[in-house]
Amino acid sequence: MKNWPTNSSRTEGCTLTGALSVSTSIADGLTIIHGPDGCVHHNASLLHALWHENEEGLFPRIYSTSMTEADVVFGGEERLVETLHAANRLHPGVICVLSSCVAAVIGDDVSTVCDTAGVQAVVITTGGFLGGGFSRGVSEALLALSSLGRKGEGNGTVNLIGEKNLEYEAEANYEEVNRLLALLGAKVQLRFVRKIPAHAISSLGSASLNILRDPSLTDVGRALEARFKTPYLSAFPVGLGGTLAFLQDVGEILGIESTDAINCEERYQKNLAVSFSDLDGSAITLDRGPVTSHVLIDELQESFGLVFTDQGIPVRLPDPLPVGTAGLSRLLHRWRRACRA
Amino acid sequence: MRDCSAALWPCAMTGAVSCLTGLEGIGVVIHGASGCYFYPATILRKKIHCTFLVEEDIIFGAGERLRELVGTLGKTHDVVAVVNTCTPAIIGEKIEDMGEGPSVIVIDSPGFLGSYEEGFLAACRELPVGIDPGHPGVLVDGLSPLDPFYAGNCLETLRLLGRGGAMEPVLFSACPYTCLSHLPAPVITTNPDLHAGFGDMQGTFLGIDETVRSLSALEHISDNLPCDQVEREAEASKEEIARVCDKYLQRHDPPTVGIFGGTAYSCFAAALLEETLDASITCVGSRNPAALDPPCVTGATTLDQVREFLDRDRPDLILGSSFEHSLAPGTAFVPFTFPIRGMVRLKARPLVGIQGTLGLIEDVLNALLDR
Repeated sequence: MKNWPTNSSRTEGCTLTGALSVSTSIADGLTIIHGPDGCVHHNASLLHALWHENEEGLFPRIYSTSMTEADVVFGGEERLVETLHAANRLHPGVICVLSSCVAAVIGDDVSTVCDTAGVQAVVITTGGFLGGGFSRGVSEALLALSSLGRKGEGNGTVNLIGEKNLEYEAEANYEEVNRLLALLGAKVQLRFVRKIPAHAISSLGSASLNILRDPSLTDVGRALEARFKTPYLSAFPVGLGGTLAFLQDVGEILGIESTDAINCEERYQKNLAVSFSDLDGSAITLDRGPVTSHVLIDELQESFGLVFTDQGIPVRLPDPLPVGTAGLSRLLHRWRRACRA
Repeated sequence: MRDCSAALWPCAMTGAVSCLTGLEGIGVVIHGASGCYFYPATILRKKIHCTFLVEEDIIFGAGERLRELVGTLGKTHDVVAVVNTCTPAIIGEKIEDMGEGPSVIVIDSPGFLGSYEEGFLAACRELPVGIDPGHPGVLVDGLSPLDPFYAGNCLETLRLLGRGGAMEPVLFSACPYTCLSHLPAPVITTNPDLHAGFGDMQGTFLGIDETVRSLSALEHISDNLPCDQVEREAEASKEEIARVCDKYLQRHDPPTVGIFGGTAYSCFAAALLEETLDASITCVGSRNPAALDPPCVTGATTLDQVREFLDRDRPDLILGSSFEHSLAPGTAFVPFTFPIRGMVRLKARPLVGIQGTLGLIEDVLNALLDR
C-alpha cells in the first residue's frame, strides 16, 4: 500500500507511554494523566506487566482526571484542578502532569491550570499522539524533570541519562556501565531517571559528564549541556571497539588516565574470544530486525570467526544492541545455544 | 471526593474491539494512533488493523488513510468494522462514507465514552443481526475474547449443547460473521454483563443449577437435548463439591474471601463460595458497577478502592486480577479476571457450566490449602 507505515513515529506508540516510562520511575513521584480512564488503564496495565516481569514494585502511581464525554464538550480543566489537589494531599516527592490527545484536541490549557491551581507540578508536554511518539515522550519527560536540577560545579561523577526503563535488561546494562566506569575509578552520581527519589534530581547539574542511553536523546544531552555546562557522551557503549573507545572518551572528559582501564578491558575481551572459540566458523543467518550495526557485525566476524550467510543458524540482533563487553558476551551465549540446538 | 487513582478496567474502544475480533471474517480496524492500537492488539492476541494516525492526519484529514486500509481489507474479508477512537471522534470527521468497496460497519466507541462493557455492547448494537425463527439452534452470548475464561467457556458450552449433535449452538462472539444474519431465537448467556440483547433469553450457564435450568428451558425446542445426562452429571458434580468442601471444613475454618471482577461473575462466585464453603465474603468489588447491581456489590475500578477493601478487611483468599494479587502478595489467590500477569496460562479454563463450577472450587481449595 502506498503511504503505509514507513514512518516509525506512526507505530512507535504514544507520548504518554514514553513520558510515563520516565516519570513513574521516580520512586516517590505521582503522575497525573489528564485524559480518559482508558488511557490510564492502557498505560498502567502495560507498566504493571513489565514491572511484574522485572520483579519490581507493584503498580505505577498514576492518577487520572477521568475525562468523560461531558468534559469533551464543556472542557476538563476543573477535573484537572481537582485531581491536582487530590494528588497534592498525598505529599508526593513530585507531581508530573501529562496530557492526552483528548485534552490536547479540546484545547485544555494544562500549563496554565497547573500554574494557577496552587499546586507545584512538573508539566510534561505530551498531548497523546498529537505530541509525537514514544521517544518524544521520553525526551519531553527528561527535559521537563531537568527543571528540578540545580546548577553546580562538576564533581568528577557521571549521570546516566534516559535509561530505558521498559527494557528487560535495563539493570544488567547499568551494571555493565558501572563496571566500566569503575575501571576508571569513576562513579555514577545520578540515574536520571531510574528508581530515584525526586529530591535526588537536584544533583543533576553537578556531575562532570552525562552519558545518554542512546543517540535519540541527543536533544536532551544538548539541553543539559547548555543549562549545566555538563558535556555528554551520546550513547552507552556497543561492541568491543566501542567499549574501549567509551573508556577512552570518559577518561578524557573526566581527566582520568585511561590506559590501564583499556588494557584491562582488552584482556577481558581476549578471554571472551577464547571462551567462544568453539563458535569459530559457525554459519549464522542474521535477522537484523530494525537494527543495523555494520561495525558490530564486522567485529563478530573478525573476533569470533562467525560466518554470516543466508543458509546458517537463524539468530537475531537485538534492539537495542547489547551494551558493553558483558552485553556482547550474553548475546554470544544465546547464539551458541541456538547453534547447539 | 472522586477517586483519581489508576483505572483498572479497559475503555469502551477496547470493549468494541474485543467483541469484533471474536467474529470470523470481519476485518477489524482501529481508527486511531498506535498508542490506542498496541493495548488491544497485545492483550487480545488477535489480528487487528490500525490507521496509525499522527498529528498531520488530524490536521489534514484521515479519511483517505482509512479508505485505503478498508479497501485493502475488503479484498480478504466479508466485512470491515471500523472502531473509532477519541480524537477522530472529537473532530467529527465523517467516516461512515467509505465510497464503493466492501461492506463497512462503524462503531463509534471512543475510549472516553465509558468502560469495556459499554464498548462491547455498542459493537453489538451496530452489528447487522437477524433472528431466524426457524433456526434449530441456540445462541450463546456473553463470550468475549478478553475474558480469561473465553476459550474454556466456548468449549464447555459446546460440550453441554453439542452432545450427540443435540443442538446447534451459535457462540457470540466466537462465530463466523456470516452467522449473524440468521441467528437462532433462544438465547443463553455465559455472562449477563455482556448479554448482547439479541433473541429470547432462556437463562445462563453460570452455575450448575442454572445450567440445568437453562437446558431444561430449551427442551421444548429440541427433543435431542441430553438433559437427563446433564442432570446426572450435575448431581454427581455437586456431590463431589460437597465432599471436598466438607473435608476442607473438617480441618479449617471457612475462608474469608474478597472477590474482584465483572459484576455477574463476582456475584456468581460469591454465592457459590457462601453455599459450598460457608465463606464470608469481605467484598464483591465490581469493575463494572451499575445502578442495578445487587446491594452487596461495590465499585472496585481504581487501585485505591481495591487497596481500601483489602486493607480494611484482609481476606484469606482473593479472587481477582494480578492488580489485587500485587497488593496482597502473601494472600491466597485465584486468577479470576483480566489482567492475569506473572503466571503461565495455556489451558482453556471455563467458568460456566458444570466444568466451570468444578474448576473454580478446585482452584479455590488448592489456593487455600497451599497457603
